[in-house]
Amino acid sequence: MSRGLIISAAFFSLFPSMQALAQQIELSNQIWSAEVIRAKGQPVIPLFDGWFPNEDGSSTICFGFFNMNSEEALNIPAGEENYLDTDYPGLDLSGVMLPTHFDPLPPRYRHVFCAFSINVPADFDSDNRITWHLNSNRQELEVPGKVIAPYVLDEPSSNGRGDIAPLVRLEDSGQAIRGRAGIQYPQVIQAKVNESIALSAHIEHGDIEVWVGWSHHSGPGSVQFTNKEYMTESGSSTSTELQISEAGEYVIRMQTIDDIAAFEFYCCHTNAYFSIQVVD
Amino acid sequence: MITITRLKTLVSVVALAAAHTVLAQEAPTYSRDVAPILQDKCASCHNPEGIGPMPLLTYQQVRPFAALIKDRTTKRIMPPWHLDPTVGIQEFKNDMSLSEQEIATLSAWADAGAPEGDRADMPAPLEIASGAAWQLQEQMGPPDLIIRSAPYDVIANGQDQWWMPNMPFDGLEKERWLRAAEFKPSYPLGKKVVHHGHAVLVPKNPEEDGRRSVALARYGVGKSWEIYPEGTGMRVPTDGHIAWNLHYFPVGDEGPGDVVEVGLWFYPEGERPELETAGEAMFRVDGLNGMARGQDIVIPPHGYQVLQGTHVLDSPAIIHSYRPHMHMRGRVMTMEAIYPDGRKEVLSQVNKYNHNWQISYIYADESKPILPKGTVLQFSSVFDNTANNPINPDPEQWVVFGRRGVDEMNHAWLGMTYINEEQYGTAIAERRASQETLRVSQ
Repeated sequence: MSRGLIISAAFFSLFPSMQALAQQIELSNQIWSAEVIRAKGQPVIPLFDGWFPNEDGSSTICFGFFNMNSEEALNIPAGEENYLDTDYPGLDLSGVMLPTHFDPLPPRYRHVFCAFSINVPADFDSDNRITWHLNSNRQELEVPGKVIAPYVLDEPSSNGRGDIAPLVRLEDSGQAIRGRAGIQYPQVIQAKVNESIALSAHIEHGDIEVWVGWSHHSGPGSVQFTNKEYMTESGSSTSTELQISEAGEYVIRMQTIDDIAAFEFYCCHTNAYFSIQVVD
Repeated sequence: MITITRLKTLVSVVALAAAHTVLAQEAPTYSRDVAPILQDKCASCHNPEGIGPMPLLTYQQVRPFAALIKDRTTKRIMPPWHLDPTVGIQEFKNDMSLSEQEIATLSAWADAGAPEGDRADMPAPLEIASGAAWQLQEQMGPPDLIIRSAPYDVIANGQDQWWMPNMPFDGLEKERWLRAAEFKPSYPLGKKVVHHGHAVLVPKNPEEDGRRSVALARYGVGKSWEIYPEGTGMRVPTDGHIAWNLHYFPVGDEGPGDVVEVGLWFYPEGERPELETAGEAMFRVDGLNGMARGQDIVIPPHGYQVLQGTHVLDSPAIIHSYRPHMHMRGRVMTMEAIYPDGRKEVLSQVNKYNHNWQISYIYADESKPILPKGTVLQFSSVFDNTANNPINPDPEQWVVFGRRGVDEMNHAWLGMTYINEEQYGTAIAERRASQETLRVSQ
């Protein structure tokens, strides 16, 4: 057994099949709480967060992730180490907003909830799947996204808690969207390496304040934000400035929710994405 | 040489053994053997007003389910009692489990073709209380005070719902001491859809009161009431507001304006019990060691995770009850005491945890743990994300912390009363005296 862990014979007598079925990842044998999170060397876990039905009969599948490192940021470019596949014939996954950058997150929430989503047609049934493959730090991991009842999500509002996803507009006269499928800034922003880039969004919500988080979603270099996570007044515009260290194509993700603690309840936040082309 | 006395004894033993053999060969009947067991251990849920899916009060009701009853009882799926019978304390006030003999009787009856037998052997019929009645009413009388949640429109299908209204509390003229509380979802809808909940009184002046909150009642399917031991009570301030936290789990039924009630029974006005309890206290297992809550839960697909958390008691304490809380992948939760002298003891182990039940294991008075200051309570939990877990919604998923049933969390609710050293000494002396009395009487 790895890492010199001590698991008693009594434990295996409770679960005789455990040794045979243990996963490819050492985590299946971890025993102490503190073992899970380490400074570096751990993988990023791909997560299926759930799905929600749309009015047109289609469904939207949500994926999130969980960086197991407290200090190590990982870049996992789209390709052999980071890709989607599906058993649903003909489903085009090329336009999916796949994340390639995975920050080590602050202690509060390591789980990034529904970082991206995929729309699937009405006849995508409970036996179909979209699988996200994500390999990092020598761990080949995957997770299937499915349209199955136990994982249904409230969207864009929750009857019980009375929550609703903030309404987000990225242009003065542009479309306003609420929910996890999100809104995409319509233009590709052009910038130079280390140039200061300002991004803003108008956010409306019934609460006086809402939580906002900006993240490096994809792109090869590093991104420095002036404001990364904060509470802001709803009914107004919020902005951040950022600088990008190397040339390439980037996506910046903004998430907003009434309170960060509401993520635990899986309802309800809005995603916004900004594409940036960075040149030397 | 065999003396006359010994010979008589031997003859008696042989005769008894022969009689027992005849009885053993005689198939159990519903009227004589099965009905008393079902009345005692099953009817509280399996009645027309109960949460069981079918009533089991008459032969006509029971006969079609004979094989199922055998299956569920021999596998110890029913009645729901998920405690490991081989380790830890085994004396409880609310033990619903079947004895090996009772299981053997039900099994033999089903194997024999489920005969009805002589109706004259039937026990007296049970008086079944309304599903809307207070369970404690017969024992405690009507509640002294009833508090109610704000109405909630129950949805039929969808994600778990959390209803968290704040309601004013101004029901008392003077501070009172709580003797018992019962958390009562509506009947029949609420009993199907309220998975668990809390009614917490936030005092109007927390600084003056010395507490930020007073947990009047906590509920889970299988745990709806609490009676504090004689001489123990919870101090209830006169006013404030009730913070309701109700977890509704959609099961296909809907209805408008569902209301949960909590009944409160107080000690007589002016009477102050010797010991003050905070009721059920949460002992977290996830996210310790400075981490945020639950951020150490990462259960692989088709795999397991073990979590362990420890808490040091900074004063002596009595544990009245043990209620593990996990979600759908939770299977085992063990509570051990590591005493200041280094001894280690398993107090209780739930080894067939089922998220659909939130059973509080209420220790018998003579068995409840009385723990010295400095005792380490160590909780060890096993999560099973394999297909072997019968309620696993999808073993292919990674599972992390969250509020939904498909996510995980890990803590225990312990009915606790913290006591001082003098009270601890008294409690230990009384326990030793009762054990000595027991030994002498045996």
